[in-house]
This record gives sequence, structure tokens and C-alpha cells, in this order.
Amino acid sequence: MRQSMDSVFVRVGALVLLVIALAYPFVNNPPAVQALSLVLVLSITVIGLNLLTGFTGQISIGHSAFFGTGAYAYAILVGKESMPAWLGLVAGVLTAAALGLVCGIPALRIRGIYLALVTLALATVFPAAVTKFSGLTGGSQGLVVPIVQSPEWTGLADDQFVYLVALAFMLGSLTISRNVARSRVGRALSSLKDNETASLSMGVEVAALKVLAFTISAAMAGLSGALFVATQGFISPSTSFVTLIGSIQFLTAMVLGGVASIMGPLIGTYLTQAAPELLADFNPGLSQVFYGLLIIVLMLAARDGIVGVLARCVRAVRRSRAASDVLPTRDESAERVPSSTTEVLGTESTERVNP
Amino acid sequence: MTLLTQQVMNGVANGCIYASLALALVLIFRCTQYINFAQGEMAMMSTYLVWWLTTVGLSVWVALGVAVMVSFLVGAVLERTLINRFDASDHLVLVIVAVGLFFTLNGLAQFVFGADGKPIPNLFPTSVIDVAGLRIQTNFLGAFLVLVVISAGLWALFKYTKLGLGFRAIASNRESSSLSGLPVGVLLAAAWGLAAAIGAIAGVLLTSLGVFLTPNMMVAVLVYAFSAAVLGGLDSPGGAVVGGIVLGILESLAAAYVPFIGSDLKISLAFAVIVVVLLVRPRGLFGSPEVSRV
Repeated sequence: MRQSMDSVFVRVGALVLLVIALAYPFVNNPPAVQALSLVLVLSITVIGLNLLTGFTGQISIGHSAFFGTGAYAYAILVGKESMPAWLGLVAGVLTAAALGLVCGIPALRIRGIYLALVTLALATVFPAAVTKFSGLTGGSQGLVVPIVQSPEWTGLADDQFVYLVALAFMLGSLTISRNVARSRVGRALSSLKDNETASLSMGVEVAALKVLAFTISAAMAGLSGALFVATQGFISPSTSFVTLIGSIQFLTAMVLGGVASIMGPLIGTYLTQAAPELLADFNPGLSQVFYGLLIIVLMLAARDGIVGVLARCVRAVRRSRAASDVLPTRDESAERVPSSTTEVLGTESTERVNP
Repeated sequence: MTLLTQQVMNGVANGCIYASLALALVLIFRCTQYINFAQGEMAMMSTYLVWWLTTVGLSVWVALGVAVMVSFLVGAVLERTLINRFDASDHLVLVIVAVGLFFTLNGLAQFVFGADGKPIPNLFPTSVIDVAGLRIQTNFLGAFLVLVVISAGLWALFKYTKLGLGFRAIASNRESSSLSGLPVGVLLAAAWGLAAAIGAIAGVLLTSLGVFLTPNMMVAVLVYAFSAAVLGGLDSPGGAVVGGIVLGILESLAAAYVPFIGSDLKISLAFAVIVVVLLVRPRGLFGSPEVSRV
């Protein structure tokens, strides 16, 4: 009974949010709309990263490289070769997915902390490679690309059109991520994070799933990068999102929002993009310190991020209200593979319990 | 021919820096099985301390000595107050914490010291000496000697002291060590302290090779040090030294003789080494094979 009440509540909430999101560009001034468009675009990378790190537990500090690949594919095709924008987006997604596939195959053998090493190195190599192939990429000068214009039939201002396009792509990515997470594949993926050996023995195709997760995740980062260029009109090797700093920002956003939550990436990206801007006016170094300390504090105090903290508050309130309930309330642990699979092998479940 | 020897010597000199930082990484990895992604930034902060001490009038060697001691303490305190709160087997969390630390220190240096380069007095007199027809720059020779001293010191520490025995014990089995009454916490703190102290030396050595001190000075060095440690074997101090020097030479030769790589792409060499070694021989040249029980 409560379950259906919950889902009604969630649906109404989502609908209200969607209405607010749709109304936003029509009641705000262009700079505010542009700022939020950027958040929507960047959050697509974080959604992808969350799919990989949050659900499968593979660590990537290299998503800036996938973002950059998509961004440059778009910039080269649309900016230099004057191809249509949609082709740039498709190319951005495909090239990043291809790079993700190439990186995903070694990731089969390289696990945990080693994968973090490899992806960190990838993040540092990418800007160097862009600088090197200056004939194609414009080198350290970067590339200027015409910003997407609103078609006349829509009657929208450019910033409103860009915002709505970004919103549509973000919702699409969110839906894909949600569906993957709740599907058979998604449950198999999160079982990898809990206990890979157990999943293997239960018939999960570990190798194929890991490569798949890596590829989808990279494709989302590529889409995000292509949209970034389409909406910002500029890319260079010193654009922070294609450097190691970008990778760390994506990671922070994911952790801040809540690892393995669906809405977390969006909230996290908003906070990492909006909060340091206030500090960045003062000093860019200070915003980094802010990010860094925030990550550490979150890991100490609230490992499940803002979404997790909110969920725990809701659960605590509900528990105190319905203390006499016989039936246990369903929580997100039901989304995971039943812990019996890990108990069979006599190892501890790695379900995160806050200290 | 002279160009070749010059390039090799350049490579060895840079390799000494990579090897020192790799030693710090290996020290922590051996004792804890995780990699401290913030090692380079900790070294960078220690180097700023040296710079500050030289600006208030200390000689660079005295400043280095003070910084080594302070870094040891800070590293040990960091382990006791922050790192030991996390489950050592949860790599995802530890990587995220180390990345957070990386970002905090890098930002702090930018905020406090600014992005412009700070000069540090050279550790060694700048001259060229002639050894059997080879003209060697003294700061190259100095860097190499410092690396030899660090490695010999570490080797002796591991082999002949109780502290070293303790390190070896917790590296081989932390639980049994704890049950046999070893102060595991103190040992871990000491390992972090030692790693931070070695990092301080690596940072100052780098400035002695003519690199200005900036907040981002150690980022690329960290990638090379990772690569060196992976090449040598993540749990092998000797491997870190060999790996660092081999990588330094490779980098220098590739930048000079392979036009495609040049100076822009040489960092991708470090990346390639990491990927190839982890795929082909994950334990590196001298590491012990990973055995896991399921």
C-alpha cells in the first residue's frame, strides 16, 4: 500500500520538476538560462560516469578524455568542415563510444585502483594529444564553432532553444541510465560491484557487461562534449572540462549527488557548477580547495551523497511515524542483487553502511 | 654520439625524480595495497615549504632537512587522522579521498602562492665535470647520488631495522601482525610519513634540474612516477628505481629521436607503458605476482 503511495508521490514530484524545468527559460533572463543549459549539458557526462562508477564500481578519472573526444569530433566536423549539427552530435557520440570500447577492453584485466591509474593517465594525455595534432584540432589556439541557432519555426530565442535541446538530451540520458539501472543488465552490473566472482558463478557475463558499461558511459560523455561545443561555441586543450581538472569535477559531482542514485548526477553537477562560481570570482584556487574538502567530508560523513542523505532523512521520519508497522519498508537495497548470492560464498556483503 | 649521451643523461636525471616519487608510491602500496594519488601534490606542498624557508634566509640544504621532517610528521598525522578512517579494501572510496586531497592541495597552493613560478636555490653547484671524456652536469650527478642515498637508506631500513621488519610484516599479513602485537597503526603512519619525506626530496630535486616551482609542477611527474612504479612492479622498491630511470631515458630518447612523439606527446609514453605493462605483465618487472583467494 505504502509502495503505491510512494510511487504516486515520486511521479507527482517528477512531473512538478519537469514543469518547472520547462518553464525556466521563459521566466528567466538569458544569462541564467545559459548557465543552467551548461549544467544540463555537463550533467550528461556525470550521468554516464555514474552508470560506470556508481553501478559497476569501475573507477574512471578519465571521463574528461571522452568528453573531449566528443567535443573535438563535433568541433572538427561542424566548425571546420561545416557539416550539419546533428551529424556532429552523432559523430561525437560514436567516436567517444569507440574510445570507450578501446579503453573498456583493457579494463577487463585492469581493475580497481589500477583502472584509476590508467584513466588518470588518459586524462593527462588527452590535452597533450590535442596540442600535438594541431592541424586537425587547432592546437592550443582551440577551435571556434558557430553556436546552434534557434530555427525560425520554433519562435524561440537562441538561449531558450539551446536550453530545451540540452534538457531533452539530459532527460534522454537520464532515462537510459534509469532503465539500464533497473533492468536485468543493471542488476547484473551492480552485482559486479558487490562481488564479481559471485556474479560470474551466477551466470553473469562479466566481461561483456563491463565493456558495455564502459562504452555507454563514454558515449554519454561524448554526447555531453559535443553538446558543450554546440552550445558554448569554443573548445581548446585548456578548456577545464577536457583536462584532469574536468575529470575531477565530474567525479566530485557524482560523489556529491550520490553514487548509484538516478537524480544524484544532476544535483551534483548543479552544485559543483554553481557553488564554486561564487568562490571563483574571488580566487579559482579557493574553489578547488572547496571541491576537494567537500569530497573528503562527504566520504567521511555521507558516502551516499546528497540524495542518500535526503533518502535517509525521509526514511527516518517515516520509521518514527510508523514504528508499529509489521512489514519492513522497502529501501534501495532491494534494487541490488539479493545478498544471498554473496553470502553463499561466505564473503561479506559490500553493501555500504554508514559508520 | 654526444647528443645521444646527453639525451641519455637528461633521461637519467629526470628518471631520478620519477624514481624517487615512485619509491614513495611503492612504500605506501607495499604496506597498504592502495596508491596515494595525492603523493605528487604532497611533495609539491613540501617543496613550497622549502621555498618559503629559503626566502626567510635558510640555506637550501637546511630548508630541505626541515621540510623532510615536517613532511614526515604531516604525512603520519594525515594517515592517523584521515586515511585510517576508511576501509583499506574499499578502493573506490580511497581513490576518491586521494583525489579530493589532490585537488585540495593543488587549489591551496594556487590560492596561497599563485600560479607564477618560484625559483629555489640549486641544491648543487652548477658546473660541468669531466668523467672519462663524458661531460656530466653536476646537478644531474647530484640528483643521481641523492637517489642512490635514498634507495640505499630504504633498503637498509627494510633489511636491518625493527621498523623495516614491521613494514614487511604488515605488508605480508596485516591481521597476523596485529595479532602478534605489532603496532600496525604506528607502522602505517610511519610509512605515510616516510613516503611524504621522500616526496619532499623528489620535489626539491626537480627544482634543482631547473624546473620552477608551480602548483602544477608535480602533476606530470606523478603520471611518470605511476608509470615507473607499474613498470618496476608496484610492490618492489628496487623496481621503482629501475623503472624510473628506464622511463626517464625512454622519454628523453623518444622526445629527441621520434619526431612523431616530440615534446608534446612524450607523456603518452608513460600512459602506454602503464597500459602495456598492466595488460601483459601486471606485476611489472620485479613485483611479486598478485595472488587472491576467492
